Amino acid sequence: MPAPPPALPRARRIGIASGHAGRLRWPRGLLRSAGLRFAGLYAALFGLSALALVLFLWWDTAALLDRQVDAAIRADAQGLNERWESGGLPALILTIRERLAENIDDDAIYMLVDNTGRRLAGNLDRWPPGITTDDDWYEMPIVRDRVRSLARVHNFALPGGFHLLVGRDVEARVKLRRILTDAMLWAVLVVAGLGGLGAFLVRSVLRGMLADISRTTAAIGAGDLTRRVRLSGRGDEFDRLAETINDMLERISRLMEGVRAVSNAIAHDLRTPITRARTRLEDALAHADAAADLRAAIERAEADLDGIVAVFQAILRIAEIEAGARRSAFSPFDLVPVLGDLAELYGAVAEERGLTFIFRSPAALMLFGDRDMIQQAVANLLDNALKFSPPQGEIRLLAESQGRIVRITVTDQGPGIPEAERARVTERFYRGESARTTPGSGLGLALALAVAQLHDGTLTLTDNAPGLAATLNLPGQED
Amino acid sequence: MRILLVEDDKDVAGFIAKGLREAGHVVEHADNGRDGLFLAASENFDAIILDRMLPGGVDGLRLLETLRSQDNHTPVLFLSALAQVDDRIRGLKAGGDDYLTKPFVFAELLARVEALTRRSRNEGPQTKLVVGDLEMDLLARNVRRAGQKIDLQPREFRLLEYMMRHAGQVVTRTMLLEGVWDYHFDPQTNVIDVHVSRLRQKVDKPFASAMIHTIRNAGYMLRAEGA
Amino acid sequence: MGSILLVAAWLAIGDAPADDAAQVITDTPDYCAQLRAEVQEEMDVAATAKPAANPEARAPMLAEVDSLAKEGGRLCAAGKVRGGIIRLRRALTLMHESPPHGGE
Repeated sequence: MPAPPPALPRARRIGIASGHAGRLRWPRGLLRSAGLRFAGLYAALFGLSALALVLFLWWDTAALLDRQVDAAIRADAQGLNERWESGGLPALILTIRERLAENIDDDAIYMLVDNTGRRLAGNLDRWPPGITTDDDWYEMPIVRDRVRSLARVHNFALPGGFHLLVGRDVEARVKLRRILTDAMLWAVLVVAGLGGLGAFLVRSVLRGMLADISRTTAAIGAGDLTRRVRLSGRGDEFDRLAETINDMLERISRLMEGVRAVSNAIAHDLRTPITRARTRLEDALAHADAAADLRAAIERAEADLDGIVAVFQAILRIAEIEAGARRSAFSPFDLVPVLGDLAELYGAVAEERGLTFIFRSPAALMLFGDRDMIQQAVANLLDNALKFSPPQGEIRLLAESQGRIVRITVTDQGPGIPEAERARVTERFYRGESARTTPGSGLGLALALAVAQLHDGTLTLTDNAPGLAATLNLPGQED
Repeated sequence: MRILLVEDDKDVAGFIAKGLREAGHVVEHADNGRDGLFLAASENFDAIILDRMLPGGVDGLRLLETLRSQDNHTPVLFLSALAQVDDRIRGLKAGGDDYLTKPFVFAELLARVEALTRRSRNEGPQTKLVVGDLEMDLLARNVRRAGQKIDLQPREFRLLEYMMRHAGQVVTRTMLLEGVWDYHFDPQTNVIDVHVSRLRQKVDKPFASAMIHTIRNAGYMLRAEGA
Repeated sequence: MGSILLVAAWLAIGDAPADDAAQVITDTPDYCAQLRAEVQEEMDVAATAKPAANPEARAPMLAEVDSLAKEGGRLCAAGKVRGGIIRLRRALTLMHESPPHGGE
């Protein structure tokens, strides 16, 4: 593409003026705005498509004009040739004069020279420089009435060393170029204007939508964990983002509550046995004279410490389960032999204590999960049942599938749990009043609940009248 | 028995070493991974007690992996404060033979270490176990004492088999839960006691002398009379 | 934006003057005068010629030619050479389109 230097400075001056002044006037915050970037991107896209359209128009129209001009020149040349053949040089000269005289469109170019280069007819002051090849097309600059223009000409060689140029002024193409340039500049102005407007609109819309999210997260950062992002109800991308954030906040606050519960529990339930152990040791140090007394005190303290360790391990185990890390160890397995083993293990204990133990299950129950975890959860329920069963009581271990849900129920005939307390029982460290005096970490049901939740299941406690029925509801494995 | 103890806590190490020596073992102690690896690789031990977290750049897992890559198959008992299931699995995968979490009861540690050495000694498959006048045929799955057949439930059979394989050694309740039931948690109920007592009813009661003995604060031991 | 301005600059070229370009000589006052003379000559010929088959039909044409020629001459004199030349050409064309001895 020819780009003569004289035309460039003007254009460059425009570019520098707008760009430089703009950068100075815009506040810094605006430049960082995502809305402005989006709008800028769109403005650039619009600008590019306008440019593409203009270029397409240019090439298409210019090509059409060229074809028309070429056809006219060919027809013109054909006529002149006939004159040359019928009337020779004088006829040709006359015809050229006539044609020039009747050229209303004022666009015809003729030039007839002899072998010395002398002009015989035509309307050019001299043979244009650069036109050297016979029977070829040229595009050349011409000056008419002191205005520069463009001409498309064909150089015909005639017998006898004569040369004839037939051409047309293609000023229309120059005009078209000028029109398109103007259109382009206007398009740039309009795109810039609309882009600027769009930037402010997009920016304010984005701000409005993100304001709530950023307010909420700021409040949460400041410690208010109860705040949630408002949903617009439109179900759009922002709503989905808000939902994800709310889910995350839900999980964070659950974890935070867990941490708080653990620290409370440690303060509450671990402080007591630790205090007891410490008191016993101090008492023994101060008062025990005989070696046997000291020994007994130490043994009791050791037992207390073992209890503390058990509570600790249970806390850690629950934390491990709740973190969900064990999900990677999930696999399909048959629940029935697992329960069978537990029934055998605990059935013997029940029998030893004079209790009735009943185990019922179908032939097979497929589950997808962590075998060891389920084993431990059911073992905890059985431990509880044994702990609270009265003499001659009955303990049942029942497994059944209902639809896709697999249910494992452990019932006893102990004191049960009053309705009001049932929800709180699965909280860590909570022990029913009647259970205060029985040994154990108090974490059995909490652990069973954590295991159920790890498997997307639930733990329900119901009245066995008398006693408690604890049921693990777990989603079964389809096969 | 020659035992290597790799443990950085001085109190714990001193306590273990003292206990092991009282039980009649010879103990070498290293208080960091580098020394531990050097000792383990250059000398012969019957067992290694290995803390998982050690100072000196070489932790327990690395030490064990290096040792196993040198084709050294000395039985190793991991001792660790890392009690999560995954930690335990990682320890066993690295080539550990047993895994005991802190805090621990010394009797448990002693029983497990002694069980380890026995395990390594009895590598070949056996078809018959004999302790005193008690005989167990592992193929026909029957048990006789003084020539008299004893009927056992499958679980009782496995419980007795485990105790016979560790005859003369203390087996703890946890070892039985892991070895016989494959349970890795501590039930709050005395389930093991009940099952051992049932086994006693069949193995000891009809006969003149008892073979299954309760070891206070530790567990049980099966041994022949007079042994 | 920069690329758009560059392209605009490219589209704007073509106005730059060229020193060695050939000059068109059919837009000069001389040519104007030459055409004016030609028109006048032909009008004189038409006026003296034998009346055609339908002289009434030619009369408005001649009036038109006359007015075009006069206007063209005036424009040329006023310096609007190209406009003048175009009118004179139109006048010539009109004359030639309806030859004195033929009829359409």
